[in-house]
Amino acid sequence: MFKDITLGQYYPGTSIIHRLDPRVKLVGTLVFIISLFAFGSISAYIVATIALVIVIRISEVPPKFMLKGLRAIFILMLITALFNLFLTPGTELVRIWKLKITQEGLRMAMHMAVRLSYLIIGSSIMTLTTTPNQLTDGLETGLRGLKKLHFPVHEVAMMMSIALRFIPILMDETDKIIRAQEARGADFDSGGIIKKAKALVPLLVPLFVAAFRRANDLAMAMEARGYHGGEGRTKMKPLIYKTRDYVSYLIFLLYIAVMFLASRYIKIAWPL
Amino acid sequence: MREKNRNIIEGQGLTYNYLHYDEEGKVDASQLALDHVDLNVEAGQFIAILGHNGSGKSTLAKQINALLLPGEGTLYVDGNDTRDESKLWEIRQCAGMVFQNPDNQIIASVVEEDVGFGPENMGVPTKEIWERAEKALRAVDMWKYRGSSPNRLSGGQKQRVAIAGVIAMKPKCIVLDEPTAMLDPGGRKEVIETVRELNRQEGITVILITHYMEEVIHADRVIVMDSAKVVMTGTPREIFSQVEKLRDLRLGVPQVTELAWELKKAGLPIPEGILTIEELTQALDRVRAGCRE
Amino acid sequence: MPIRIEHLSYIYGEGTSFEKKALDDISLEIRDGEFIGLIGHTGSGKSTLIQHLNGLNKASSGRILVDGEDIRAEGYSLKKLRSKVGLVFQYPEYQLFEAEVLTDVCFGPRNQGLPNEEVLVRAKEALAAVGLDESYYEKSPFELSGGQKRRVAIAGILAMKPKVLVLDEPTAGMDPKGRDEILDLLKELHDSQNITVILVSHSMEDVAGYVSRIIVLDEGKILYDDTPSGVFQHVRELEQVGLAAPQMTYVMHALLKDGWDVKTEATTVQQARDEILRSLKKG
Repeated sequence: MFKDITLGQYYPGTSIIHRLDPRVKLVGTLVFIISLFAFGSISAYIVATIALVIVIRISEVPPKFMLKGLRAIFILMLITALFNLFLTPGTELVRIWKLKITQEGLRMAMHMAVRLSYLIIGSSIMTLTTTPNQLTDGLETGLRGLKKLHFPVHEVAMMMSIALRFIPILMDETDKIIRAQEARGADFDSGGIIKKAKALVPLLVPLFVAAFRRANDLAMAMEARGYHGGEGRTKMKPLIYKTRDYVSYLIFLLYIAVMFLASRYIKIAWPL
Repeated sequence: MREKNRNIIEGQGLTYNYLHYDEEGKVDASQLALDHVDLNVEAGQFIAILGHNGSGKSTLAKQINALLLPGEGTLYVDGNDTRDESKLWEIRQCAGMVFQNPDNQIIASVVEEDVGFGPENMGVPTKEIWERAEKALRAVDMWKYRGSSPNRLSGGQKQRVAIAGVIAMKPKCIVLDEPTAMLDPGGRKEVIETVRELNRQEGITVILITHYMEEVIHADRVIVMDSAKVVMTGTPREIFSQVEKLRDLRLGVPQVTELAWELKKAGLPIPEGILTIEELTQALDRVRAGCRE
Repeated sequence: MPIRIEHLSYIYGEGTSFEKKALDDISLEIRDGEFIGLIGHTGSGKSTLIQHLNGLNKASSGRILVDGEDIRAEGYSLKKLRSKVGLVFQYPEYQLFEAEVLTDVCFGPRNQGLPNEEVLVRAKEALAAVGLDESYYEKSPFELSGGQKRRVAIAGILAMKPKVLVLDEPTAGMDPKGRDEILDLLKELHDSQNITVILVSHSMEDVAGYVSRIIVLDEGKILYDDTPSGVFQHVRELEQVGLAAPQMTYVMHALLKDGWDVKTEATTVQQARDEILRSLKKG
C-alpha cells in the first residue's frame, strides 16, 4: 500500500535535468513555487504550465509515472479545495442546504487547486531526477551559510539521507510484521477508530523495537568507520557548478521576468 | 617501540562489565562480558573466534575497534593504546569492523557512495576517495554494482559492500562479527572467500567471529570463548580434535570431523582432528588397505 | 488435515516493471503428520509459498484445498484457516509485542474469540510445550535470549492449536546448540502432538537429520520432491541452483569414487558411520 507513493522517489535517468547540480534544482523549485504564489493571474498560470510541461519533457520522466504517485496527494488537495469552496465568505452563487458557494470561494478553490498541484508536481520533478544523497548534499552545501548561526546543517543533511536510505527497509519490515501478526489472527481492518487504533499496538511495538535496534547498530557502524561529525570531512562527490548550471540560473531569471510581464500586461478574465 | 613482526593486537587482562541501570540511574546489575582475556594477534594472521551467544566474543571484537574500552587491562592496536583518546580515529582506521546485519551498516543509498563514506570521514582528498573506492569494490568483486542501490543486492553482496567500505579505509586489520549469520549458504561462501582472499593477497589481518565451524578450518589460529573467558586456543586441528570438549561448550564440530571422531571411537585407527573430506577419505583408504592385508 | 496445492502460480508486482513470477505452477499434497523440509535459496519462492498456505498471499492462479475446502472460496473464513495452519515467521521480533511472555502468547487464541479461561489454559500449555515454565510467564519477551524469543514466538502460534505448523527459517542466526535445541523441539512437537511440520530452511544439514520428505524449490518451481536421500543424490543439480548436499553425502560419494562398496544414501553422521563400518566389515 505504501509502494505507490512516488513522491521522494528517484527515477534513474541521464537527462540534462538529472545532471544539473542539486542546488540549481533546489533553487529552481523554490523559484517556481514562489512564482505560483506571487503571481496569481491566469496568464501567470499559463506561463507556469508551459514551463512545467517543458521541464517534464526534458526530464524524460514518463508523466504517467509521475501522476500515478501523486494520486493519494490529489485527494488531500481536493479536500483543501472543498474547504475553500464552501468556507470563503462573499457573493453567493449557489446554495445547497446550509452550504453556500461564493464567487470568491470558487476562485480561491481554483487558485489553491492550481497552486498545490503545481507545487507538488514541481517538487516531485526535483525528487524524481535527484538521488536522495545529491539532494541532501545540495541542501548541506546550499545552506552552509546557516552554520554561522549554529544551525546544524551537516547533521540535518546526514539525518535526511539516512532516513531516505531506511524508509524502504522499514516499509518492507512493516509489511512483514503485519503479515506475522495477521498469521496470529490480528485484524487491522475492521472496527471503529478506537478498535483500529488498539489493533495497531501489535504492529507498532515490533516496528519501534526494530527501528531502535537498527538505529543503534547504524550508529555503531558509523562510529566504527570513523564518523565524527562534519568536521574535517572531505567529499567523494563535491558539488561544482558547470556551465549548464549557470545557464539554468539565467533561465530562472528569465522565467520570473516573463511571469511578471505576463501577469502585468496580458489580462485574461476568470471564467465565471 | 615494538619490533617488526610484532603483534598488531596486544591485549592483556581485558575485563569488561555491562552495567544495567535501574530507574533512578543507579547500577542494579552488572554482567561480566570479558574476564581477564589476553589476546595477541600477529600481523597478517587469520584468527577465528568461536563461542556461543553471550560468550563475550562480540564484546571482544568491539574492544579492538575502540567502540568499547577495557574496564581493566590494556589493549594496544598497532602500538596505540585504545584508551588514548587522541589515537581513537587512528585505531578505527587501522582496525576496520564488519557487523552481522548487512542492512544496518550500509549508510548511503548508492553502493559507491557507501564505500566512500569511511575515506570521507578520514578527510581523504576527493580524487583519492574514488581511487580507493574503485580498488576496494574490485577487491570484493562488486565493481559492476557501484551504481546500484544496496536494497537491490543479495545479503552476500551487501556484506561484500560493507567489507569494501572497510577496505577503502586501508586498514591493517579487519574484525568481522558474525558476518555470515544472516546469509544463505551461497552468501556465506561468497563472504568467506572474499575475506580469505584479502588475507592472502593483501596481507590484511583477519579476526573472524562465527558460529559456523566450517568457516574456521582455514584459520591460522582458533580461539574459543565461553562465559567471558578464553577457554581454548590453537590451530583448527588442535581445537577440533577435542570433540567432546567443544560439545560441552555448546559448540559443534564440522560434520566431517565428527564422523572421523565417531569412526575412531568405533575402533578405526584414524588420526585426530580431521578437517576436510579429502583428509577423511585418505585416512579411510589407508584403514581399508590395512584391513585387506 | 491434508493440504492440496493445485497449479498454484503467483506473480509479484503484476503489471509493473518489477513483475516477477514468484511461484510457477506448483502442485503438491501435504499429508497428515508429515515432517517436511522446504528448501531453496533466497528468492526461490519458499517464503511466498508458505504465506499462501496461511492465506496471507492471494494466488494469481491455481488453488489451495485445506481439508478439501478451497481457502479462497467465497465464505471461507480466514480465521478458520489460521487456526488450522499456523505460520511462524523468521524473526520472533516481528511478532512479540506484549510486556509479558504469557500475555503475548495469549494474543493468538484471544483473536480466535475463545473465552478467557480457555485462552489462558492454551497459552500455558503452549509455553510448556516449548519448554518454558512458569518462571517465564511474567518476563518481558524483549529481555530473553534469541533462542527463548523463538520459543515464545512458536508458543504464540501453538496456542492457536494448528494442525499444521509452518516455520520460516526458525534457526537463522542461532548458535549450533541453539539450532539443535529448536530442531529437537520441533521434532518433539511433531512426534508427541501429531502436528504436521513444514520447515523452511536453506541449511541441508539442519533438515537432513529431521525430516522425512524434502521439497526443493528453484525459481518458483518444484525441482525435487522426495526423501532426503533421494533428493541428495542429485548433488550436481543442487549445486547448480546454488544449494549443496549435506557434507555426509559428499563423503559417501568420495568414498564410492575411491572404489568403496558403499551406498551413498547416508545424510547424517550416524548413517555415514554405520555405512562405512558395514562396508569395512564386509570387505
